Amino acid sequence: MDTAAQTTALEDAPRILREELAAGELSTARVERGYKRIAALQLPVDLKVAWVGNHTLEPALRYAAVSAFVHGVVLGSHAGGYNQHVQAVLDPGSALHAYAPDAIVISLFLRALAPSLVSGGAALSAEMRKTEAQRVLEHVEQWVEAAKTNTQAALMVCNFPRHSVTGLGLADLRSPVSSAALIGWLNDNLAAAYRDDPRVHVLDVDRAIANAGRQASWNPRMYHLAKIAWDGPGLQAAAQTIARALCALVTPAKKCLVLDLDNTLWGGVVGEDGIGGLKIETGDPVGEAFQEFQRVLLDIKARGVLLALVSKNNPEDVDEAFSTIDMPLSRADFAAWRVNWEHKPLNIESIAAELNIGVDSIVFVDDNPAECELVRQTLPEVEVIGLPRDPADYAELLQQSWSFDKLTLTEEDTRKTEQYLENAARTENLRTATDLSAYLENLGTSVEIGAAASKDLARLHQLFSKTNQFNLTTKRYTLVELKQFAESEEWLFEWIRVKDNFGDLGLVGAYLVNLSDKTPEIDSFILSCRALGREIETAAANRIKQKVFNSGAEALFARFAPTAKNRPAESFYESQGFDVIAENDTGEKRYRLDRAQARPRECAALTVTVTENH
Amino acid sequence: MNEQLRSVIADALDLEPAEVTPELTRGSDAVAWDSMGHLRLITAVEETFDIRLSMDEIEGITTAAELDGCVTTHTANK
Repeated sequence: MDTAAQTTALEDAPRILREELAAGELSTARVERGYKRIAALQLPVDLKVAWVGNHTLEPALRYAAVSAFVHGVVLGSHAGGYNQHVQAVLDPGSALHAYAPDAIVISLFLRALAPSLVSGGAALSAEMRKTEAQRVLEHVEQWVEAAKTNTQAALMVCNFPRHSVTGLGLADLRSPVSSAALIGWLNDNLAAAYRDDPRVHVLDVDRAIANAGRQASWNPRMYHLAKIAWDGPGLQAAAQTIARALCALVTPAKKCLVLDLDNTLWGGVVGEDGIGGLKIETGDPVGEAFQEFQRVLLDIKARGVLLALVSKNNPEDVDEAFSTIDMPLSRADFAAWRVNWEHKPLNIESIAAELNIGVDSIVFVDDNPAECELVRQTLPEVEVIGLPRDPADYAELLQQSWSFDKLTLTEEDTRKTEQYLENAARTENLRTATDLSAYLENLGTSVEIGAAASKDLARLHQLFSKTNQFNLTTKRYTLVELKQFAESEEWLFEWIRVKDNFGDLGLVGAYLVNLSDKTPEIDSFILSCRALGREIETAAANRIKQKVFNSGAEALFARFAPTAKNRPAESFYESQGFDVIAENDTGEKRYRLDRAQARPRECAALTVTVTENH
Repeated sequence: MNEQLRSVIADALDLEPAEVTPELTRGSDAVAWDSMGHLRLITAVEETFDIRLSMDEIEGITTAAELDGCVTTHTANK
């Protein structure tokens, strides 16, 4: 083999192994073999994960690593000692601290932590049982606090699976303090405690185990012999739930779901069967399966995923169908719409351009294998989901997809489609306005700038992780780091919110300026692509200049670090009056702005408000 | 020795099939045959042959030959 062929073989090895593991069930033997083969590839680790708890977590750790690998994420793994979860975070000399994990998974098994809540405690008083459940909750909360203070990691907290045993038999439901009732209480409180904490993710292992079957997941031999709490299908389900959450920490969710229409959203072909011949009516079993699929799509949309339609049809037929048929999806649920006779890949590319998103953030769904294959061949970056033959299986297939997973949802996510539709109205304004300044005037944009506070951090973290185009240095800070910047007096960390006549764009930008010495430097400057080209970046730069030079600095420094995607930001600092003082052959530039040249640039079409609270 | 078992043992304990002899002993011969490796091996054997060993049997097995005997008894009784 020559060198080039060797390199290709090396690059292909992970892909081949991934495809091999993805085909078929992950049995224990396949996981064991897969885990070793992944390790042998020595790939760079995407996420270092420490696993701690009071039951044997190695089998779940291996399963999760293989499962994540199939989804394109390489996990590093460290298993903490049995029941050492508290010491591991509190002792600065622990192996966990030496490993410096990006995420910690904690799973505490009630049989070990509070046995009487599972078995043997049925005779205890209601008061004692409640106290015991309270103690468990406090133990978890104390651990979380300790882990938050002593590590930088994201915390993945498994909730408590209910057990298949009932202490009081048939009368179990009569007791307000039965095992199931108290575990339900614990899980509700655990979820509530961290609902708004962007760093702590409570994972629903209880549901995973229930889906797998509580009885099939409990193998007393393995528990008594080796403290293995999740067995067989339960191990797979719990490990998958955890792997999915770990993948969501590093893999950005897909942004847009492009849907075919005929036999995808309804049964039949509107151009041939006519509106009356379509299967989407209540009362028709096949129609109801399509309705269920549409409702699932609405739920996916509620997570901030844009829906788009691509259909080979006469536009009038489809318009008429959408305005006459009473069904869950309506025209307004779609951020983009292509009903024509063009090839679907062309339409998908044009949707990506209209929505200003990458083709690689699109998922395409079609019932027709030929259309799926065409998209796979022409646009390999697009994830293609071919629908199964029976529409009854559509809904579950999409619900089980990991592609739209987000660990937290922000206000921006829930308003996403509306924001894009407002954007379409803005583009229409551009078409009718005679020149750029008239366009900007008509938008009536108001920009609000304010100091980053803890309530903004989830959205800011999302922005730092996802923004590629207008991102001057593309530094991907962790939530913990962003929190430290927000709390530090030595950093100017502010957000940018934008509203206009067409709607609320929300929190669309941020910047981070290091004020710690006499030569302040802009460390990061980010603006979401949907707010570009509207002088908002100029308003923000003016604010930085004002803040920095009013505090007596002589010069302000800045840096542009090129990536494959941030060309739109390439000459931003030049346009704001900065001088290039160094440039290397990768295109990285360093800038300086002297006090004497620090006049603000004009952005007359904007109303800018700054909220000072430092 | 059951050939299918030989390959399951080799896989679970990271050995070449030729290294799996009836005398192979838990805790000494194969580095991977520690207590966790033992449970991985038992789980793989149970999955492959669709049998279920008791706790006593699991704890009692110390050589490949004993495991082979155990598998034979269970598959014969199915």
